[in-house]
Amino acid sequence: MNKKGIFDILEIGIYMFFVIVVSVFIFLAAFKYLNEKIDTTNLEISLLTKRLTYSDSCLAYKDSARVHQGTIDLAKLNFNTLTNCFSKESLGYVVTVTDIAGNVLKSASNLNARQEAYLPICKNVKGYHCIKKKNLVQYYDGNETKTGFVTVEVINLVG
Amino acid sequence: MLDKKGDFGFPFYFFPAVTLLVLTLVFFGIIFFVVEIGKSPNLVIRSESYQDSSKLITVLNSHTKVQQSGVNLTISELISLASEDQNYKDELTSEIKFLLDKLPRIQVGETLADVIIATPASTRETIKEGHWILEIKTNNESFLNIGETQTLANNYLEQLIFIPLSDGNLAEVKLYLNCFACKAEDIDFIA
Amino acid sequence: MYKMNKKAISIVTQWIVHLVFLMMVIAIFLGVILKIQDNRLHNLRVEAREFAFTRDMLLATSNQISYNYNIDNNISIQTNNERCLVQAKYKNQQGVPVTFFCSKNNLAQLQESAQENNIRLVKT
Repeated sequence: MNKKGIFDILEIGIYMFFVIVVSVFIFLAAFKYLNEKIDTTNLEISLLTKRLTYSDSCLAYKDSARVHQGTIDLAKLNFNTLTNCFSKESLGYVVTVTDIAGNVLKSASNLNARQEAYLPICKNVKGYHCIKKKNLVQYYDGNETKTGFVTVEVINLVG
Repeated sequence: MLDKKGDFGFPFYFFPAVTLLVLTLVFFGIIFFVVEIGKSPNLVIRSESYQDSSKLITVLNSHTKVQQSGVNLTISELISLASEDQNYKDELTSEIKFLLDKLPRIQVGETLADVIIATPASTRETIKEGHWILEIKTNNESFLNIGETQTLANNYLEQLIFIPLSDGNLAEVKLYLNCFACKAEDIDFIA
Repeated sequence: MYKMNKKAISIVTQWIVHLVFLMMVIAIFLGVILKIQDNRLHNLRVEAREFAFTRDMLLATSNQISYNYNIDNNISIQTNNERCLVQAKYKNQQGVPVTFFCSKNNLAQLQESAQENNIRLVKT
């Protein structure tokens, strides 16, 4: 090859290098966009809370007249009710009802042994996503209806 | 523009061109991978889509300290009473303020934008936290507005209910979150 | 006839080479955009989740309720009631379906009947 031929190859080589760099960048941006995980834990905890507080087969208070949607019957808050009303293979949860001042009135969960062990250290466990959500709610304590909070803590297998 | 003798202009255009390319890649790299501006809009089915008026219903059904015939009135009953007797307006305002303070708030954290603009923590909290606002209208006129709105802020998670008053009319009660710099994910968390 | 000299050929060749590389980058960019617009896997994942969440919310009511869930022509959805596992896949494609867990309620029944473009869900 003569000097000009070498220069041509070098030139093409440089161009190819930059084309490859830009192409790889485009691929990475597209790959990230296409393979983003859909994490719906937020939504699932929202739906779980509604199911718990609206359905009389869950925690909703029911008297002789009607089902009081949005009012939790404390007497119903236990492991059996929770397991029968909402169970999902990938998700475990803890339900805690507190009064308006923040004092805990009652708590129950449907966690299996693994979920119970992982919940306190959730941040460090790969493949699990934990969220705690607090909502203003009414509760029935056997005598009257009062305003308080329901805190639902969820451990969700995402990975 | 290479010829037999080599390209004398090469150093003059090569290095600026490569610098420009690198800067462009770094800029778009920050946009796509750090700030994530290219995030798919269909990625998350938002909690907001499944929202209902439960927060407002809970507020309206809450019992107050105001009693009538030995029974504690609810917020909705107190609204009806206050619409007839303006003396109850102050008590209604304080009861509602107490409950609005108990509604879920957005958790304030530091973002890249805060680092770039160097926003002080106290200012960040005021801007980002958002405020719950409750508006009551009777006969299409404003009766009571509780909560602070911020300039240039947007309204989220709006809930609307009509409640009957003792004079047979309806009061329009609206609850919403007013927030200036809230992210969609944060709004979704408290929906 | 006009004949190009060596220098002109050299310049034109270089421009053609520049254009070829530019076209390569543009072609990659356009190809990626087309792929993003038709993200078939993502559509299946969303469909499986939407259906599971719709089932979950129907079970939240205390009353009897029925609901027609509309689905894409190309997608079929099946539910494994034992594990409450929703499976979504494209009708004319073989392969592993996309799955997502729904929630079980031992105290309420939810019946599914698949029709042409929708699935009828009835809660008793």
